[in-house]
Amino acid sequence: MTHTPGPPPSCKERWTGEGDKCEMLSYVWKLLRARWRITWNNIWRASRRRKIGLFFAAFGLAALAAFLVFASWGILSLMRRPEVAQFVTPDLIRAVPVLFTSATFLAGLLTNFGALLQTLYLSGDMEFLLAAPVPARAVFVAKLIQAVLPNFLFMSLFNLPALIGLGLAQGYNVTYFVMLPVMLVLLILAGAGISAMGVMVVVRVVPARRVAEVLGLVGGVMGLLCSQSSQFMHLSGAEQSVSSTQMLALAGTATQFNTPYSPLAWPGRALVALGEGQWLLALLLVGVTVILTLGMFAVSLVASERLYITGWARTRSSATQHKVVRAEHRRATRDSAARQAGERQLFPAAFIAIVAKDWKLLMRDLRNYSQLITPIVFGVIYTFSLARGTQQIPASPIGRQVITYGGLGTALFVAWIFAARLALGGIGLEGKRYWLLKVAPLRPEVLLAAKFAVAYLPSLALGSVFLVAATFLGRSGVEALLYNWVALAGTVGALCAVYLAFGTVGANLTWEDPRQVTRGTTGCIGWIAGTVTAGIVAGVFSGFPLLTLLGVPAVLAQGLGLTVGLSLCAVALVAAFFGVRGRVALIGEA
Amino acid sequence: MNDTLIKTTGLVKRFGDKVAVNSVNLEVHAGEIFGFLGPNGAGKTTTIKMICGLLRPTAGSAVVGGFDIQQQPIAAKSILGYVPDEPMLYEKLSAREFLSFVADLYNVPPQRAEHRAEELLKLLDLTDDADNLIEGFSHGMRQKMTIAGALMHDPRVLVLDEPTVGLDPKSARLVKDILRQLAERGAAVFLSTHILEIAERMCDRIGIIDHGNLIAAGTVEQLRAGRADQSLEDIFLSLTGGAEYAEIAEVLA
Repeated sequence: MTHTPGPPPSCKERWTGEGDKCEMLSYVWKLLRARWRITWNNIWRASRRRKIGLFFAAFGLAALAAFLVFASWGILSLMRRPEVAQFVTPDLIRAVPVLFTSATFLAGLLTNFGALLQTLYLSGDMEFLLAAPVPARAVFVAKLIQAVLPNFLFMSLFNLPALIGLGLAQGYNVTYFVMLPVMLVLLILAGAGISAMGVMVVVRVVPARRVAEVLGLVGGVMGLLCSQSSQFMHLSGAEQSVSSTQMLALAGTATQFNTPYSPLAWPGRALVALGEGQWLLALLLVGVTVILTLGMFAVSLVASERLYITGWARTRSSATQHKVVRAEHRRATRDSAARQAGERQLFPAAFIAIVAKDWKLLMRDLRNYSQLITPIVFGVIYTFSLARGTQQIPASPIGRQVITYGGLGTALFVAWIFAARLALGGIGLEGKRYWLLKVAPLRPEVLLAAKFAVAYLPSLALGSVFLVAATFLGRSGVEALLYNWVALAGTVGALCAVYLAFGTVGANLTWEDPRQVTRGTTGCIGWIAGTVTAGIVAGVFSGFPLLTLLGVPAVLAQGLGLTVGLSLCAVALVAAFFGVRGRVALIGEA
Repeated sequence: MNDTLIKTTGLVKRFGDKVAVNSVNLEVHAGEIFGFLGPNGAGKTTTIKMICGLLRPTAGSAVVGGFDIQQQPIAAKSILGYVPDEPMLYEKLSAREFLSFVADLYNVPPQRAEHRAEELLKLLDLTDDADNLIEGFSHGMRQKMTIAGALMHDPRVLVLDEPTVGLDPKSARLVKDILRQLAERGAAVFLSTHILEIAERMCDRIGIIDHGNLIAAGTVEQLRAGRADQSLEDIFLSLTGGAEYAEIAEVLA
């Protein structure tokens, strides 16, 4: 077999594919087809249970989309009724497509940043693709579509049925329905193009992995703040019923988005013009939208020529060089000396080493922060809610009991979320590095004890802080604080032991994302088991003191609570440890 | 004194219906470098993982330094150092922190551990990066870190799975020298490699595994018996399917 090589392609040819027999688009198609094949294989070769689950999920999503079409159609038809007509003017209905298309563009701009970062810079196939004679622009386009498609499909699940329903309710003509998906695709491509440029610029300054960690943190915190927004409103006293005046003001704000001078409004106005048969206006607005969106996408393509490959190559060559301060090393050396001097008899060196190592890993990976910040935010909200609530609780004996032991509930709630993250994922946190522990002369008890300490100590410490705060705000006494603290220490111990046991059995050592350190089913069962255990133990601790309402002396009631509660904790702890001890040797076996 | 530091007896590993390792019997003695060769998927890594206690054998036993790795794992692992085929390390630890962690796992006294870590970092040319997080290390640097970790407790038995992959020529030469020195000091070195030249030059004895079966074991001279003009490559290919390779070479020619 003979082969006569031609002249090597120039840099531009290498990038764009010009001068090559194969067009860039054909390469994009090939890359997307390969991605589809991978997705299809994941579905087709999945277990039967997963296939059935996927079928029902697809069926459920189709049913949801159909429901949304008919719901929006029905709701918008209802809005023509005179009793709601004062709120729902024709202008407001015309503004709905504008709101949806604007939201699609902005969502494409904001939500795709993380997905683009992952696919453009952190996917494992980049070296393979760039070593192959594939135009780099084709790689960029294929990766961009690959990143954007899941978000687009998810958004389309809601906005497409809603806008179809609106079209049906308004009696829009067929061009509206034809152009609707086209407009949404154009908007998402434009948003993603700008987002991709942002990613490319940011990655030139900050290493891609670091950006991913920061995004994980920001995303987690934003999600938490959104989910708790009603609680924040409640705390700030802003929670009130919405008046008709406010409804009208809200409707007015929505229509303000629909201004002819805002480029964001043009795609939505184009759709309305198409639907209402205003052909000249529709032609103008559709044309402007197409030019603008494709222009934005083209600009991102041109920018990617300069930024993408050089940026990617840079992330490979100048990987992060975080200097760990010398002081920390000196401190570690001092710690080692201290261990040698005294602590060694109390705790094995391997125990301390694993605890210290895990805390360092948890603190240094920003992706963990969003999960660890969650309980703290929850704790602050519920502690202040409790403090506000105490003012409304009558000064009866029962009310006093609620205030006294309510603090335990808040502290336990915070510690519970913290423990769930740290204990359930204790072994799984090792991931592909678990070989280091497995090959070391490490007793299963030492490993389990170390992982227990990694979860237990911070959970207890955080819970204690909130317990003290709740006790102070609720003006409960020192006696109640001590009782509650012992109850907290015991309950968190039982909770961590149960979570750790299930985390050991269901450890996922092949994770890429630290949120997937436990296998789904075992993690779910473990979570339920730990929560039930904590509920029973906490119920015993806070239940016995209620005997004082029946005239039992407080000391006796608390003594009974501590005896029974701590006994239950000890049983849970011992059962969990001995139940899972034999499984440690099997961790990491196929 | 029994100088056999690694002994496998009837070692078997099955994954479902597939037999990955089939009744492997081998011995590695003190002061010896044993090369473990075989085509891809022959069972090299599975055998190594069973010797190190990373996988439970379906049948048979692996004894390290006189201790059964399954029955007396702590005693066996205390004298064992392992370098895996992929250098998976804690990315958020610095090189120095990593070595300190490994030393603690193996109960190396802190002062000795610190001294040993500095020695190994210097030896492997990692001193300048000792306080950098491992996440910024190249593949070769990570490979050197796993080797340093395996040497922290001065093991009597060292098991290495493709130790020179990703290393530059200088580092590869250094690793070979370290292994030779360890063997001269009485350690048993068990290494798998695809580089036949390394096996031929470095190893005192060689074992060849194919489809899970140990099909040959001995010194290069013993393997060459009756075929004096053949290289180790020729012997390897004739034992493990050289005809197929010849056909492929013809097609590519």
